[in-house]
Amino acid sequence: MSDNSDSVGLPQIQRRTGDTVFGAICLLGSLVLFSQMWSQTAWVNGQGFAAQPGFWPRLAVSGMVLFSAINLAMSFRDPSSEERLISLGEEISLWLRSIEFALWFMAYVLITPYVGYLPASLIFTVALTARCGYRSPQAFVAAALTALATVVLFKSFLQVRIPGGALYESLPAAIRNFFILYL
Amino acid sequence: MELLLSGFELIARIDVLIALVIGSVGGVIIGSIPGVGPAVAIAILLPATFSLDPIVGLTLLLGIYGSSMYGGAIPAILINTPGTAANALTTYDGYPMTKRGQAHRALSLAYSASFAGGIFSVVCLIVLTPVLAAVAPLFGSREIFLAALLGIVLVIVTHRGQTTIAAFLVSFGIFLNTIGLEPIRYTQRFTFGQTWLTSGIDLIVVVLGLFAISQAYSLLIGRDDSPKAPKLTGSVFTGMGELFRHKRVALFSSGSGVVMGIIPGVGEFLAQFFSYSYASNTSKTPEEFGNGSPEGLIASEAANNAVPGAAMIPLLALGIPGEALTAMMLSVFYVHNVVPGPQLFESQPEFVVALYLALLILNILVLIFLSVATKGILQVIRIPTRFLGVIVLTLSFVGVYSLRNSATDCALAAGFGIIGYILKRLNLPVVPIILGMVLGGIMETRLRTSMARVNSPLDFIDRPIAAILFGLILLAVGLHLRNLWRSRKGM
Repeated sequence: MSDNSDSVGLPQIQRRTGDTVFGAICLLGSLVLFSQMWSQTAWVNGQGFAAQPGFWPRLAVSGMVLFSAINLAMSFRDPSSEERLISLGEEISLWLRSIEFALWFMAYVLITPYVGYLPASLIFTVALTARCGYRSPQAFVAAALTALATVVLFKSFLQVRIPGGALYESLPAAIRNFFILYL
Repeated sequence: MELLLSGFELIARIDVLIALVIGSVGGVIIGSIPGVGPAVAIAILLPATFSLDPIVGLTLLLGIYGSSMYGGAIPAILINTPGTAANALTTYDGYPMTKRGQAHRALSLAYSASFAGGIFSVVCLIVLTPVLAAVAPLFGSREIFLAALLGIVLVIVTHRGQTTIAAFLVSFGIFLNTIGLEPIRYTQRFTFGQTWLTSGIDLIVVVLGLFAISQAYSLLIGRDDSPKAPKLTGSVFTGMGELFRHKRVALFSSGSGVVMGIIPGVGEFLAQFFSYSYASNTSKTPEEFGNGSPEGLIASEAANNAVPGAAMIPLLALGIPGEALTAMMLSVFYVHNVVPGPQLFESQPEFVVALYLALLILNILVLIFLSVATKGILQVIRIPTRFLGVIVLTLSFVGVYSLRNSATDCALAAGFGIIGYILKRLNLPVVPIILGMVLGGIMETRLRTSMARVNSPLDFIDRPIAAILFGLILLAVGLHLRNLWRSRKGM
């Protein structure tokens, strides 16, 4: 809990651990785009700059290079950057951990066309709940109910465009259409 | 009066009323969950609203936007954790009041102040409509270009201490918007020969990645937490009369919320700081600020709740979103071929009035809902953090996948989620990317149109509004440079 007794002003922004690494990645990425700028955009002869198809992407990429370079330079000399709460290695390992959940998300995306929206959602929520450390029956029931409620709300009621899974084709004709349309 | 009735006729439909109820109730609940917030909810619901009538879809999103800050005050007051970023200052005085056993009084003050701010901004909208209808047609292409440029400049300079990275992120947003097939000459821009890049990068994919998926990662990776809120005793409206004793603070804060909401790129965060500073500097008991001052609580809540209504002004009148949430709403307009801007006031004024009325009704609905459901909402605050991450990631899937059933979109959104997560970890803003994408597109189109009629650079600002906007841009840059100079001298 924070001490609220300090006088109030706009919060002081402090550079965090990893800021320099992020700044370097931004500059590197911007330079790569800058090097491709002439081959990836067109410049038409006899046209004013505003009508040039390459004007805005070139302006944007030039801005990215300029500001990322200044930001990186400032991250080296900002005194507040010395205030480190965790080590750089720990910070970067946290960034990398987000990749694991990106892969979970993509697995959900990739299995849906095969097994269908409802089964994929049930598998995803229950498995991810277990991965997060919730192993009680109540947690699994809550996860399954979350999946069911999401599917019913979005696909059954709001009719969002999520096609039925290939697995639904093997269902008896009487319920196949219902599954394809609503679940 | 006739216009008002036409507007009322538009929303007097069962589907609009259901959307209003779901939006306002859902917004309060979503706002009360720390770590979710209206941006995540709106991003997820955005594709679902495309199949609805524009007025229904917009009412639903407006409901969430306008009511989330009511809900955000609940955890700010009870557990010292703001439900949304806009409730940050509510913790300063709300939580000390809770520690003194005055939780119901703090909640009552917060609800009353939020209601005052919300209603004040809607009244301002209604009063300003004739002015907007008269002024909006004076905005031609060059004025809209300059207004968008002003938005870009303001979103950069208002990120004090982070202006260079904000400028980088704005440039990145503008760059993202240019990827794909250029619409006039059909040349490829940064597609690297990849067909999936030809159609460009969808704004909604970026929004969902940066707001919803990144938040899911953040919740899933973070420490598990299941906060305990104190029990509430008594009515949450016992202190409503207290607001009237501090009407000066409530009025000023609501007014500053309206002004800050109108200015693109500023928003509720600065509005609450500005109002809080005013209230603190003019109070007879400044020592109470930060220790449970009712004036501080009123200043923060009235200001932040006045912003949503006011933020609709540049969106509706000029088609220029001032912050991320109205940028998301802009895509709903576009999907339904309703183009916000000067023509909207001329061709569909009843649509604009209907949105104002929806905002008015939602404030009343929220107040009624909170009067009976505050104790129930406390259960929502207790959802464990990582389980919340599971829910947000499950919902994010619907948002991205239902757009085009594209695994590529989902992969892109997952990638933007990683970028958003890193930005969050580094305490860097994501809003400049979204505004860069939206305003960059507007600037490109408008500059191309306006330059066809301009012979010299001075012609660009030879009309009064263009000259004023140009002056404001210079003023914003000048003030920023002066502040930089002063802080350097101070060092």
